[in-house]
Amino acid sequence: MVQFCQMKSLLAVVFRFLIIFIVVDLCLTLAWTTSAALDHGLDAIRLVLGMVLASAMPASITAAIFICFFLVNRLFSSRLAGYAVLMILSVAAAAGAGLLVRFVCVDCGSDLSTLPSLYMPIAQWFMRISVAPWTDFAIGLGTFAVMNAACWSLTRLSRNRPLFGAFVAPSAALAALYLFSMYLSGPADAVFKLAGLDLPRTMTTAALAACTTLGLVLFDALFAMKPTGVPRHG
Amino acid sequence: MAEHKPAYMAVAIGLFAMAFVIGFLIALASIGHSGVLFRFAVSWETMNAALAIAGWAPAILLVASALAMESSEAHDGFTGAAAQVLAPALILAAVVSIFYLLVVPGLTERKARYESQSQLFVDSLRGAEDALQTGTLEVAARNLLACAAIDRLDERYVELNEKVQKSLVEARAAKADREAPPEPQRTEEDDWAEANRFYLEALKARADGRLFDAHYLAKRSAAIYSKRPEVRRLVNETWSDLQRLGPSAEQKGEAALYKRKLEGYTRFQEGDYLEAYRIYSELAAEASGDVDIATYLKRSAEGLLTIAFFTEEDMRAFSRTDGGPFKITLTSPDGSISTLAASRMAIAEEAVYFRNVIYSRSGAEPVRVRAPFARLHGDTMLLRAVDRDHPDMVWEPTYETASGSGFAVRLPFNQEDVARVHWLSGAPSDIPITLLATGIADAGRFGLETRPLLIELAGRMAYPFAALMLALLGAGLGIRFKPVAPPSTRAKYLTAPILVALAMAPLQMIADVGRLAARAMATWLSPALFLPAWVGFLAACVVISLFVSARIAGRSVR
Repeated sequence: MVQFCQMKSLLAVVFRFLIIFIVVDLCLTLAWTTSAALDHGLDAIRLVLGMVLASAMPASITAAIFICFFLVNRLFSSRLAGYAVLMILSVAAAAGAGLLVRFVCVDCGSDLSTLPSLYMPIAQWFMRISVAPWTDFAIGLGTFAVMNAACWSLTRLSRNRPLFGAFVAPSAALAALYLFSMYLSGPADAVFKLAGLDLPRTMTTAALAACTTLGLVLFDALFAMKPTGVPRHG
Repeated sequence: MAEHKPAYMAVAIGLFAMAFVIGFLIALASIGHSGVLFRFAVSWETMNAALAIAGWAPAILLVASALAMESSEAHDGFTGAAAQVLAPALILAAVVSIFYLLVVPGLTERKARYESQSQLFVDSLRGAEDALQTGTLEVAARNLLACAAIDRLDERYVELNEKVQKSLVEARAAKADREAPPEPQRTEEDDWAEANRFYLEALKARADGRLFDAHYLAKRSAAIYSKRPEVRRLVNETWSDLQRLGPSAEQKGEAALYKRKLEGYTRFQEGDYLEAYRIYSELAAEASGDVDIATYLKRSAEGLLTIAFFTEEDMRAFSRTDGGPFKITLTSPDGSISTLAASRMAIAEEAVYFRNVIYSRSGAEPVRVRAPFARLHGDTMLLRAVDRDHPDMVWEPTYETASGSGFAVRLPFNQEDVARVHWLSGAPSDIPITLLATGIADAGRFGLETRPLLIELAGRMAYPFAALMLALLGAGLGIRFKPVAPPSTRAKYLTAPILVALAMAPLQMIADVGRLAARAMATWLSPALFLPAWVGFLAACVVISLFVSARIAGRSVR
């Protein structure tokens, strides 16, 4: 019976994640394609649609995983189980998205100028890492996905004021994307060079994302509340 | 247990008050770097605080609704909660919309005025200091006049003004000393000698028959040394000779004056008002008391105004306002296109004034004319300007086409149309809501880009809908994330600013998506379809918000 309940919870999270992922990806694609069509004419839709659909996937994964945090809070009372579900889900989604680009969307186009400038580094990184050697593919997408999942603790800041988590989550999702785009920038490389390490950018980004993940998990252990694992109030 | 009504309105008012205080404190902390004058400090801080409310209002509405629902004891789920929050939300939507539409533009304008006047004061003060150091006291005084017009109690102004006034007094005294004529050290013998020289020259002139010179020189001699009777006699004799030989100078002067008056009158009768005005202006300087001259100077000026205007009107209009570059294009029903472009324009009550204007009209008889000055009253544009004080200075139009002549052109649009186009071609955010709502059709008719205006109108129309959506979403969040024990009022208000700050970035993103939708509709739909489509879109968003909120709250709409 317990196993059945756990399986049901897991399926609920997976189902919620997939639905949100698809809805967000379609919404972002609609918005960015519209923007491209307004700037470059209706013909641009045909040219950018595939690329926008693919490059919106990292943002969609982030949005979906952040929304799933609240469901996981209600379904799992163990941090370990929660993190396991979220990380596996996030990594699987990132890997799936990467594989989709690698094998299906190879010729989706590389002109990302229609995307918002703040998101462009992540889109460029995603399109690049998806066709990179398998080791880089795994490390790059894995650290991105795990860093997103590690933000779970931010929705459990206060037991007395769960509303706080609801307001933190959207900003934290944006902050996570922004932080990752910072890790992809030159100044982040410079930190490693100062330390005497000459690593490729894929590795420096992965290292910084991994450090952030560790920090967030530590924050969870020290400050965040345990997930309730019980249905909502009211 | 009695059911508590969700105090959405009270929480919202409380948060707005907090936002005002926080905005005021932020302005207080930043006033040192803003360069705003002490005189404007409190007003500027108040404007900033009110504008902070405007900037944070969407997040405040969301958070207020969430906080109200978070501590509500209602047990009839989202539908009941939504119903309870809807009435105050509608009132707040109306208040917030009025605030945005009618109050915020005025606040922004006043804040900008305080900042620009402070900047002008500081620049003028600096200019005056520099001028004082370089010794150009007139420039310093002029700069200080600009400062005085803004704040004559500012300590920096008072101190510098004292220095400049002191320097001016010293400079004037020094100049007076330099320019004062040296004390005459002349003796009576010197005067006699000089007077005698004039006397001898006068005698010679009389002998040569140059009676005017003789009289003039004799008078000069008498003025220098008046004790010689033969000199006085010579003065009288030469004057008598002048009187005897012809009409008196007075008579001659009167005759000449009459001749000129007649000439001016003839010009006036011929309709050459400019020449008539020139003649009567000259004569008025010579004989200011002459009734005929005064009458016909006035009448010729009136006549002149039908074919020209005085540059002083242009100067006066531009001293009050400067509209910058201007362009208007109108396609007439017959297919001819009329375009009026000017490097600068100024709108006055009685007319619109242009500088460096080019008017062109296509069609069977194309016209293209340019003029340095132009004045539009009604639908008649005068292209000739005259300097009132120096009527010889006239600025006339130059026709670049064979067809077309004259100093006035009848335009297919009037002064009101021009003023309307001027307002509509400025920054859309500066256009008053009434003009924006009624002027978009005119903008299209006069060749202006209507898309930015439609987008701006869409943005302003969205305020009440957005307020409603935020209230609903906040209610959903409040119900869904209700704590086991309601938080204390103090905890609620202490955490509210953090929640408002957290909500800002996501709301900004949603607002960007809204702007994108407005842009898309303004681009791809006809202006006639735009407004119904946009209102429909906003209504659909409200309905979607209702269902999303219900979903977040965990209850379906009953």
